Amino acid sequence: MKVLVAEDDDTLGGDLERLLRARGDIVRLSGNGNDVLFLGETEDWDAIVLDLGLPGLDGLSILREWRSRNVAAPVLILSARDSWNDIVSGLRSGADDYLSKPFHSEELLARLEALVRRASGRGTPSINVGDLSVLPDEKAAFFKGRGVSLTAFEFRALEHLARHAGSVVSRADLIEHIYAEDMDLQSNVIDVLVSRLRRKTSAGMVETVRGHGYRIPVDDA
Amino acid sequence: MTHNWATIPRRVSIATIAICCAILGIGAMICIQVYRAHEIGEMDLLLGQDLLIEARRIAYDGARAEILQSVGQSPYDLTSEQWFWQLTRDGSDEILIQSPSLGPVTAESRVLAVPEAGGNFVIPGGDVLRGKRAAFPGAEPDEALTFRIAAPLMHVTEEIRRAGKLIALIFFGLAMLVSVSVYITVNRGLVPLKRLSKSVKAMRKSDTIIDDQKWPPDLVPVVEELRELHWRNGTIIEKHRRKNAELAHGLKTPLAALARVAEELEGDRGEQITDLVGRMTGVIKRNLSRARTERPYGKSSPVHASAEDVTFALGITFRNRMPGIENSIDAGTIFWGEEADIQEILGNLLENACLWAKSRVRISVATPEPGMFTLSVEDDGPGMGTGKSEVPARKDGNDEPEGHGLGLLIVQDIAELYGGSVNIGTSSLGGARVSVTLPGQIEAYRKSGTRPLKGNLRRTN
Repeated sequence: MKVLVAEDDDTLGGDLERLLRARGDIVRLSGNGNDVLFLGETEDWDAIVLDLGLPGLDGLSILREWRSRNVAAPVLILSARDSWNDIVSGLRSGADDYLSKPFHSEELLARLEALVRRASGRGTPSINVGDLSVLPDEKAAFFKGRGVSLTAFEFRALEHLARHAGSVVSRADLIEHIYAEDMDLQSNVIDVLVSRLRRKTSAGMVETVRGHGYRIPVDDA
Repeated sequence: MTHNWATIPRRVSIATIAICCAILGIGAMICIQVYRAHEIGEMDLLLGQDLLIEARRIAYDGARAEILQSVGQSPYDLTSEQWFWQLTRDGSDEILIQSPSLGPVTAESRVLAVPEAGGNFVIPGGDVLRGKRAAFPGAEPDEALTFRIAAPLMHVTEEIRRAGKLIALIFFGLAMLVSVSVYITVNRGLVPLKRLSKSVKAMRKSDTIIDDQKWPPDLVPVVEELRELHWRNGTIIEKHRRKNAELAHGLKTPLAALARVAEELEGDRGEQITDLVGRMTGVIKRNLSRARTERPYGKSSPVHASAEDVTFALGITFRNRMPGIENSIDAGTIFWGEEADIQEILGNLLENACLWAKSRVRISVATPEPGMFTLSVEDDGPGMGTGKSEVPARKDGNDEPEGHGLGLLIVQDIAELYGGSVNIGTSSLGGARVSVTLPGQIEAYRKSGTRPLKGNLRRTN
């Protein structure tokens, strides 16, 4: 899962980054309002954790700007402002959830997962596509009922493809959702990863759509 | 307590009219007295002239006195009138002759009791006469005579009474005219003051400032000062709110980081820190809520819209666990205060109700007295139970209640700030009923005199 964390407090921001990375998410931390606005508009995020009191541009303005420009990523406001007026303003501005500080890590993670699940139209914690089941919370995948042993990168790739089952996912999109920005990648790294996934599940699990990317086919029957 | 009659124009009018009436009353009395003195003087003058005329008609030779001739119809000749004169010899007070109106002199004849210097006297029968007397030499050198003349005072007093009535009527008419003039002048003169009073009232009820129309020079400093106070009040509240928000951010973000550290600590220490963080958060929330709530002037907020907003937010928070919320708040319900404050009240009450409700929550309003409305939130949950039927007692220091109690205390703080109150009871739905009385009005209720209409039955899933 690729998450943008907008938090200007270094301690809390670093802590959130570690918390989300520990469960295998790709995390981008930013503490400046203008940077956060830009990142939200220019990249595809599975979820955004947004603080309201950001320097440069406040969180509510960023959120309104995103929604006016059709940025659809689910947004969870994580703010010290906990009056009902702030909560109503945040949710009316387009946020999908509101959590006030201080918070419990489990609650934050559960709400984030629920947000992503709702955004992808799933009602259950697991992603089921044909014989494949992916459990993001448990970082586990099953094919035809058997557990599939995956590395962290393989799991992220399979999870991202499964979340967008039936749709083509570009190589660039896959790279963004699997690897951190600062990683030095070889050009065939995605091809190798997809090959491994096919080997561990089935050859037809991930299709190559030439010139566009990859897709997990959905059996309409 | 104020009365309508105690307004400045009425006070000034009543005082001025009273003073004018008193002055006119005194004036009327002086006029009547002056007229009376004039009439008495006129009568004395008349008596003096009559005395000389009547005295010349008498012939006296030392033994006998007689009336020489009668001059037409003299009132002193008529017995039906009380116009009298007498000629007496000094020393023996022997009546030598008297006017025909007194009849012939007999042994029973009495000397008229005319005072030495003239004036009023009473005759047998009770009538008051006014008399005059003059001394004349007798026929002998050692003889001295006194001529007394008297006339009834009744004619003069009647005249004075008639004139008095006329004077009183004239002065009463003047008093009425003065009263009307004073009332009109005072009311007209105090129009700018009434306008200022209306502007200040409007300022309290809506977010307007005193209009920029032409004010009299003596009111300009007052208007400018009120505008300055209004602006300053708004600025200070806004500044406090901003500072409080900064304080909230400044304290709660490190607390959030601390809570994260505590979660990673193993054993009791982590739990202790988590507990402390929770308590500190409660204290901050309560005190920030108190601090950011300032009773503002000139704010009015629609209650129905705030309830819709809070219900929308709760729908997102509670999702599938959201009970059905029956919003019976009339669309014309206005809270005379900040929108943020009514949202805080509704948010805390509805969140508590949604937490405890089985399936139903009801919001309604009523008008207990003019200028106030009561907002009630009910649920079909277990109710407050014994010991929770009152708002939790206030506690000082760090020992602040959390959760349900904290929300109610925040509601109570805001209600008290606006001069309102909080009441807790049992709902007909079976659960708790929390009623908050606040300043405001239900416009539809006030205009039609009917109870507010029921709103939509909404259920958010």
